[in-house]
Amino acid sequence: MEKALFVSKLESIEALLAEDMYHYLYFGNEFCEHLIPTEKEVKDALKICKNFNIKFVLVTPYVAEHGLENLKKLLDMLVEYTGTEDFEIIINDWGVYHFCKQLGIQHIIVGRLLNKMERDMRIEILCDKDSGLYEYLKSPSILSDCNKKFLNEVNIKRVEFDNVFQGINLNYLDESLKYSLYYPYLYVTTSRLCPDNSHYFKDETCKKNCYYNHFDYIFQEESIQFYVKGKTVFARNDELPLTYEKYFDRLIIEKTIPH
Amino acid sequence: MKLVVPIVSVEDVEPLVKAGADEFYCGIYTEEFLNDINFAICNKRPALRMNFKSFDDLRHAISAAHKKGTKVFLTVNSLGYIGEHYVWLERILRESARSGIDGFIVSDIGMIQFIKSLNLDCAIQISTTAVTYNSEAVQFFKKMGASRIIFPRHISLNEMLNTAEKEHDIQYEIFMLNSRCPNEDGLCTIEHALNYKTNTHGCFFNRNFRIHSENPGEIKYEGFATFIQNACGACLIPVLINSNIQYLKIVGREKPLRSRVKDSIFLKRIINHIESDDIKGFSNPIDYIQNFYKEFYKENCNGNCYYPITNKYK
Repeated sequence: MEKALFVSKLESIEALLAEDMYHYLYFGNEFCEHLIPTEKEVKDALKICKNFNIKFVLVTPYVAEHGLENLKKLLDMLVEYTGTEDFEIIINDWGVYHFCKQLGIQHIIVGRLLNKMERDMRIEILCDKDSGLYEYLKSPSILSDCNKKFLNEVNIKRVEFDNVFQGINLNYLDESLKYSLYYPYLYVTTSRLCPDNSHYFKDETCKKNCYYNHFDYIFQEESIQFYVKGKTVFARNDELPLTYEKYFDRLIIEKTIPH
Repeated sequence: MKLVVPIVSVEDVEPLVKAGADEFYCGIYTEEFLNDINFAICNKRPALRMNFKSFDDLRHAISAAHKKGTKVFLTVNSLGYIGEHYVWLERILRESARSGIDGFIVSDIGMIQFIKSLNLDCAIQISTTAVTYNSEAVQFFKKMGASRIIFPRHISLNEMLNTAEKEHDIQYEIFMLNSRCPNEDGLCTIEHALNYKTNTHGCFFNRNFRIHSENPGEIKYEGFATFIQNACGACLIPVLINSNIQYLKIVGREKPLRSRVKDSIFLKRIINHIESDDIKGFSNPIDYIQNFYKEFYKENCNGNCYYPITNKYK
């Protein structure tokens, strides 16, 4: 089983990496184009990976035009710095995938925002376990025959999963692809309406308050606890699927909510 | 500019065409699906009242719309489908194509591939739930055969104009009136149809909740989420008139016909007045639109803008 550490900040990273035997460093943000790492941060992360002899994985968000331009510059730099094969990239936007292909980036991974499984924890409470609905909600549509055919055609070899409360129908996880699992936080929903300000409407520069300050909330709905970080709602599931090691070959550890 | 309006029955066609609809969109969800696969797989509005209930009804509506020169598009825009659904989906797609549907509104990549494999000679529009925020994504979907991109609800005016300018060889559509959720449609994993027959569970943000602070027992805020707002994007029409974003969608398959008719009349009048530069003595088109809103709906504009207009475009 490969292990990856997922962080969005490099603070205390050495201490975290020393805690366990990791094979990968996941670095970046999935939910906000204002939190794409800078070139310096990526270079620093690459150095840390070299020191710890682990592989670098850039995590990218979905992006509008402005974020796309920033990401293009960052990817140009990364390819120039490392070549097209020495890192992996998590894509959460088909536009980012399209650009990565043009750059010739070799290891493109389908991120969890493109895996549309429902993460609604009420499913376990409210859904009839014998119903077709329950089976559907456990089934990853990203692994439908049509989607798998597409992923194989475009040479994508890995798909990532959240550890959803209702469980995953593991029969879909065949050998045509490889699979990663995020643990223990899963994202539930996200927005472009920033609770801090509405800068994206007003074309203002983001002050990254959610990144630099502890701008996070916990809220409770009935018996369920949610964590709001920036524009995204997360939940936490500490229970791994029973036979997950048979199907997933990479576990992505989130020591804190990756934001 | 063209107005895209939802229909749920053949009776909707004539009054909505009269009100100004240039195009229709709809879904289908028959009793047969409900009994057989036990879940509304067809689209993002999984409730009987928001969809055509039989292929006969759909066929009649398409025929009536075509007689008026109005195209009809079918939503098959669930975020994803799984193996057993494809048998039903093939039937939906083939029957709809035989009935004369002009195209499909799709989100899932696999579904796009599947439609193409059936060679149905129907257009493919990329649903708002495909989260197309940038020109590279537009290129990606264009290569897959898309003829139109429906922008996400959370895109800003500046962002949509930038993208549409970069990739101009394709149609663009935006949402104009009604439901605007604080969550991003295509990235929200909250299940809305846990009780699919009544569709009662909906979003859990539909209820109040508490935000706890880091201090035990202290409540920072109660009732945080605003859920769905009745948003309006009419003030954008003068800005978009010369852009290649030419399709304006009225959301609300769940709304009564009279409401959809009223919304269509409202937007069509604004389009006509702006296109003919007839803003009745107002120096600023936005003043004219906000005044017309008040006159038409008998209430002040509530400021819930779909895409707030920045000073640059005023």
